Amino acid sequence: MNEKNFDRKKFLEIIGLGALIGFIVSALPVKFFRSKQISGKKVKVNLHPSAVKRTNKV
Amino acid sequence: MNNSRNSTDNKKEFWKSLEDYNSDPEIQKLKQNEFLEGVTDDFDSSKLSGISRRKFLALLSASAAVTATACTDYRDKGEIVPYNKRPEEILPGIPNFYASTCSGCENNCGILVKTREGRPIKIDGNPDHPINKGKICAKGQASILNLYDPERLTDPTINKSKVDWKKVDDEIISALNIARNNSKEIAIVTETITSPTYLKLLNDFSAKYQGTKIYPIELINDANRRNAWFDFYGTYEYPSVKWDEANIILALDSDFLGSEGNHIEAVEKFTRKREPLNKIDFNRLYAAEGRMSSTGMMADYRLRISPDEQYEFVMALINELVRKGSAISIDSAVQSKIQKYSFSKFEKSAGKDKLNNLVNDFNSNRGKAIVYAGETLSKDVHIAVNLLNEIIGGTLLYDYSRAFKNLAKHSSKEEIEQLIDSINKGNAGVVIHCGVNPVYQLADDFGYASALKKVSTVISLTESENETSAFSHYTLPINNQLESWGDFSSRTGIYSLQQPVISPLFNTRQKEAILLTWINGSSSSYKEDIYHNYLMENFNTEVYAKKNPFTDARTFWLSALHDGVVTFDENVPTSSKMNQSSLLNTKENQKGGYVLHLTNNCFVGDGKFANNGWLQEIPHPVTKIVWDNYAAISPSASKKLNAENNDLVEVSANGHKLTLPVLVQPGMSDTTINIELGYGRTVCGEVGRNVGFNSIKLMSKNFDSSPFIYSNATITKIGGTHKLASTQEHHSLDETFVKDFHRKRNIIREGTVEGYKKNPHFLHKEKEEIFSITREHKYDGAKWAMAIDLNKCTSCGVCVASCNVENNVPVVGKEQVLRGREMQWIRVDRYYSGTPDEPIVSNQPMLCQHCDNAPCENVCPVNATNHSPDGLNQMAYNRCVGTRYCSNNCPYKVRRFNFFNFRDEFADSYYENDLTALVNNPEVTVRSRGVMEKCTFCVQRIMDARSNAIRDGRELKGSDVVTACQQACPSNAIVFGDANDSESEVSKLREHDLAYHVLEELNVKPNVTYLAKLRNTHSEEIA
Repeated sequence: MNEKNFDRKKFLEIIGLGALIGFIVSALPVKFFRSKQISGKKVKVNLHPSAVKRTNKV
Repeated sequence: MNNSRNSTDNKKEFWKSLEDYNSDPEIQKLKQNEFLEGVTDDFDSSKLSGISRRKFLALLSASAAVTATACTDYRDKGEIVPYNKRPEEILPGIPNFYASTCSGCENNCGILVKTREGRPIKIDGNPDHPINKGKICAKGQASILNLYDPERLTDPTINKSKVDWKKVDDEIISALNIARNNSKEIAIVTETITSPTYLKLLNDFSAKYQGTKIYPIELINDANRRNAWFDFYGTYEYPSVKWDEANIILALDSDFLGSEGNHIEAVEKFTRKREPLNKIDFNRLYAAEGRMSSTGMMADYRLRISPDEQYEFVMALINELVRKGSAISIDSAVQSKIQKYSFSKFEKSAGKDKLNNLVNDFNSNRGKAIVYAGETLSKDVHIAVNLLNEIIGGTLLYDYSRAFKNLAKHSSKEEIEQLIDSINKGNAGVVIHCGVNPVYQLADDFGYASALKKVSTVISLTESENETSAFSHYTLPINNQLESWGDFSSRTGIYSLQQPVISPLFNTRQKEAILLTWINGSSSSYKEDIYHNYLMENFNTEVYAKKNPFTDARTFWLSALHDGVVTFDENVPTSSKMNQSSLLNTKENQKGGYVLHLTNNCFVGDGKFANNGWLQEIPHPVTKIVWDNYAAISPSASKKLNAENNDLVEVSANGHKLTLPVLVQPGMSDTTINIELGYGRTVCGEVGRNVGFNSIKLMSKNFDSSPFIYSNATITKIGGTHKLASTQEHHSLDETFVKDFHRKRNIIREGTVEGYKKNPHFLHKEKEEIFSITREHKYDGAKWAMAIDLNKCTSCGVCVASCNVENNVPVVGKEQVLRGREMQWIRVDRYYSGTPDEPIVSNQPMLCQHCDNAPCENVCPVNATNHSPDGLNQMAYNRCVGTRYCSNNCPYKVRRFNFFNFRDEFADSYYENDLTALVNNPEVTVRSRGVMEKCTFCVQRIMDARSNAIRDGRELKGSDVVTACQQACPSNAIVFGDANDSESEVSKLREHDLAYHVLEELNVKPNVTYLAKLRNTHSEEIA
């Protein structure tokens, strides 16, 4: 790039472009697809009704 | 005779690897550098591409803008709301504990499961269980991760398509009925049966569907021991051993302290006679083995005897002892058989002095000596050992009150062949696999996989996809052990109960409940508590009725569930008159060339735990290799082969071949090739798939005497390498760093029992006064300290597993371990001394020493690491900016830096999901990228104990706190407590004659005290 023609307008264009790309990328569900998904349902954690707990650790 | 490499001042020198021993220039170079190559390379700006200043600034600003916008996470993590109607069992922030039983292997240890907000987060041993007494193995500790495995099966499938249970049940019941009506065999291939109720259920199944045959199989089993016991004594039940009463123990290729049998029980009992606190009355361990095992590392004397020579060795020993006078009368036919065996053959490999010591020890300890053969050895060796134990009085150390029961014999090779033959002839209608993986576990030449293709209905009941389910028409997901009901009685007089601590997370069912539904003949008969009721009914009949307690059945059932175990008197057939003539049918192993020895891996087992990242990443107790298996050979064998570590070799045995990397292992017999089983899974979750090499490919149904030992094996270097990741050369403490000191760094201090008895203060005769320019800080209240007894540490790695689970330590993967970035807070360093052929091994757990004069605290620019009023070296993760200066300064190299967010980084975010996040301990911060972490002495447990003490209005005692590693250590080598309490065990150990600190001369004042190891040799010198 010709440094002499590198004016303020060009500088701000690059900044703006970078910000736009960043915004679009962050909106894409990249990580969403990368991470392992189990079925779309949420995991439900329930106590087992018949389990007998200890009153203390030992 | 001391063959150690001695320095100029004749002190013993330690070496960490063969490269170190041979002064390899690479290793010498590594020792000079604190960091691995490449890390400290100078930055060469000339290599940068040309860029103008304006453009640079523009791009910098653009990056800042991108970063700002990217630093958002749009994913909604949900809301945290308090309970509208709190379940009675749950108090937020307070854990619940449930007694249950581990079904990871046939030992069925009693466990205590810690749950928070309804989800299990930690598994420890049940202190009430009389066998494992509050301890479990590394597999048991890490098995909690299997519950939250993102690749667990969630729904039943037919030919890989998800369906509902009704359809599956209807179709299978129909298939079973057709098979029964057409007189076709219904084969149930199942794992080892140790559950009386499961056995009854299988019998009920057989009664309902005539033509059913049950095939219990297990890759690594004690069939040879049982069959030998039967031939010699007439029963299949065999006693356990009173290791705590034995003065002399000879282990023949038996890793009874590491990976064989109930090693947790064995370690606890064995180390009772390694207690330095009171009167010194150590046992003496001889290990005669071809490989190097954990038991071999603990041995006072090691004899290098390859597995195919063990039979002759035992016979020679019998001959020698009988010559010197036997307490029992030996049949003349047996006498003439043993007479041709002589020790002279073993004098070269084992050493004449050691053999004489062994014989003398047996003679002078009749009734207090025992010989124990490994389960991979042939039945013939076990028969000979039975006779040997009769001669030396080892039978007095047999414990019949806790004998190993035999609910159902494992299927023999002939029975499996019959099954396959039946399938090939079209006589099998249905084959059901219950929690087993025979396509992987059986040798290829059985032809099991190809036979399965001929069966019209193949069913697999499994937690995750495996090699067998890939061949199955119906793949049915079963509950994890933490979601299951069960009972186990693998030992006499003990009945353990298993209860679900969480409702099934997915659409899975208990395998017994599935079978019960099929017995009932209708899919609608299934109820969630169908097996629970069946179990209770059997419990009332078999246990309640026999125990006859002073309470009603329901109360007794609930109290049994609370305790997790019921003990009662149970008669077991004791050894009747021995049948010496069974020895006449025994013979030597075939010999020639190398002998291939296939052994159990203590972390992945038979492959069941291959998909468990924690277990894959715990360093092997002997080799410190992770994420791989290898062909271990001796240094002499490697020279002959011209092969070094990582070189690819082809091992061939009995017509089967396998290519894998070689590992040069000091101390091995020159003709032994040792490969561990359980690796090379191909149908497995992403973590375990294609990790290691499937050594089952080398097994054959046409074995000579043992399916694990193959003579006439060959090993050929084929070119190419496969990098093995070892943790041993990382975080090393370099003794040559201190240029001005001429003495050794004394990281490992050792002595002998005889030397200690003569001079208990031998350790401190060289102690120098350490001068300090600062005043010693006085700690009011509790001051936390730890003591580790090196006499008891077997390098089993359970402490590492327990710490990983307790402190949310991430899995990093093989690539990162190769860069020295494993994240475990505690490691067990292994040092060799002596020669590569006859090394003496020393193990030392190393963790943050919580130094009073911590060199890491002074250098942190943001004060993220500092010292607490009770003596802990603390980390404030949110202050840390990642300069890593603390790690640079730590002389023990115990600090771990999060180079990445490893949950995200490892295997494409395998563990970054809602399910696996449930395994995290909510009491411990989950660290992100860029922060330093290290052992905290389980500060969360300390704070918990402190708040309990405040609530109860009492002083906090050191014994109120048990760290995760201490709780898990089966030998109780780790002691933690208050150093300011002079009555505490840790204070007594700190003042013991054998106590020392590592790198004491640095004056960092570490709070971890080690007790020097005493070897029980005949002389005062360590042989």
